[in-house]
Amino acid sequence: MVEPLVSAGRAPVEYNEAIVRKFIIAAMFWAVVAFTVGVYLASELSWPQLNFGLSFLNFGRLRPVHTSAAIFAFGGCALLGTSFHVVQRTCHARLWGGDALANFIFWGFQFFIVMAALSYVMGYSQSREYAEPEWHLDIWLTIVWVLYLLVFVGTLMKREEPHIYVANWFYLSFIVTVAMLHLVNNAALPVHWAGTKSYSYFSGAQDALVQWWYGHNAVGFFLTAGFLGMMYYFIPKAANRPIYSYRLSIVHFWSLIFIYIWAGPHHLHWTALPDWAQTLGMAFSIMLWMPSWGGMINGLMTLSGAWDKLRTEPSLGFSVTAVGFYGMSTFEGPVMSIRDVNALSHYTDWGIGHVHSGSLGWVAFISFGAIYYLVPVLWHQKALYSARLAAWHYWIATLGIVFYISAMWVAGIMEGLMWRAYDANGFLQYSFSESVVAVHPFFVIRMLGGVLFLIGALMMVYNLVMTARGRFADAAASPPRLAGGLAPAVGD
Amino acid sequence: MRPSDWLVGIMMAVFGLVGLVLVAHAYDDEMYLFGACLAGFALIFDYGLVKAHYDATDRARARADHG
Repeated sequence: MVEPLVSAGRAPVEYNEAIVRKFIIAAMFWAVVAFTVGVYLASELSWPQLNFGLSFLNFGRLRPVHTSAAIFAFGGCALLGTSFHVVQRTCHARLWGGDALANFIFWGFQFFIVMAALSYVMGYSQSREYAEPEWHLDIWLTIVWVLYLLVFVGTLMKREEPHIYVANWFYLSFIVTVAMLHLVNNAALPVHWAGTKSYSYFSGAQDALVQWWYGHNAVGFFLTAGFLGMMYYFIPKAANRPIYSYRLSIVHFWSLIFIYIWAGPHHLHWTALPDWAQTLGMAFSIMLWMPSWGGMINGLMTLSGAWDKLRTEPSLGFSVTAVGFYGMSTFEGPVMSIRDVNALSHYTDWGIGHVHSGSLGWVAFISFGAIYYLVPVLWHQKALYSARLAAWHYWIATLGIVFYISAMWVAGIMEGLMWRAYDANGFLQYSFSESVVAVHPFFVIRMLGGVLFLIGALMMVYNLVMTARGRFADAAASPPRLAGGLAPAVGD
Repeated sequence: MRPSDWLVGIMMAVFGLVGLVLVAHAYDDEMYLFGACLAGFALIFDYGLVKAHYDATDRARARADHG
């Protein structure tokens, strides 16, 4: 797949590794920012006095800073960086378009993130979930994204390999679909050509459906398809094994992208959206179970016969646990999309727990695995600074996730049950404020879980900085990786 | 300098001008900030391109001098 290309008699290619390094550094920077803001917000929810009466610190303005920093800044930089690494290595070609264009994509993306965050804290927002930036920032992101697509497709087209490796299929579907979602969801008319405020082209239930068609597919194509591309490249590389079944990966790809795009209406159960549309969303969400678990099985089975590598390759623990969380959250999602389950879970903290089992357990862990693998490669070091420190990171972060999601499950189910409880006379048994008081201890536990996750990320940053500087704390415990390429898929 | 560097440089110069126009006509403080930052970003990026070009020229000259 990757390294044997050189031994196949072709001239070695000088890859653009500088751009990948920049994205990896940015990903870790934004990870720390996102987790810090998340911990602060979790503290605000536990102790609202922490907004100090300052407009720019209130929950409504900081919340999109947290979500955008986590999804688009941390996740986005990890995706763009790894996609540039993977497409070059698997195509045996340097990035198309030259270094200046690649640098524009990097700095243009960072510019978007910073400007979006500033606009949120200044109080400007479209009030669309995961699409809060106003129209001018949307146009800027469109320019950056289209150029990203051109560079990616241009590199695929000048490849020296006859075959397009499956990770690139996932990355390409992520890039193309996010572009489509972004353009439709952000169709808006500005109040003034040099003014920030705009109004959506859509209204009413149609607007809600467009928002959740976008919102759910942001999960499906940004947070799932892109990171599956990461899984399909970095798990085989770190395990030094072929993927379990190349055929299953193709079935996984086509079934996932066909089904995901229809599942958005499950976010609008019990609303003004027509029943048939709600049922359509629910049915496709349940159907999603199969491709999701097909992908999970393919990821996990890649390690069959090589589970011992978990002891020696620090990145694999994160990657494999991420696939486990992927399986868990893609089981939980379809369950929550069933209309009667949704009647209990919707608007409660169960949803927050579900989102974070996916974002922390799957997205962050698969990214951590890829970054732990990549940093020694990109900085030409023989191994990580400390495999032991990476192991500490793994256990602290895992404990943080367990704290977070179990607290949110309990809080969410409690909220759902309290909100639907009636007394003998048919009156609501609890006021809303009583449910807020009841979940307070779980909000504190959630905050502690976030603190653990943040501490783990800081340990990772230290470990990576020391690795890049060529230091080794426990070289004996972290042997250099085995060289060599990948054999054909054993499951095929 | 390669043609792609020129294209990106010219594109950034246009963005810089758009930023200045937005600053001049800004309807609110956010658009003012966006325009100013866009102009500054474009300027710094183009300076970066020029620097990268001369750095590459210096490296090539140093390689030639050392055989």
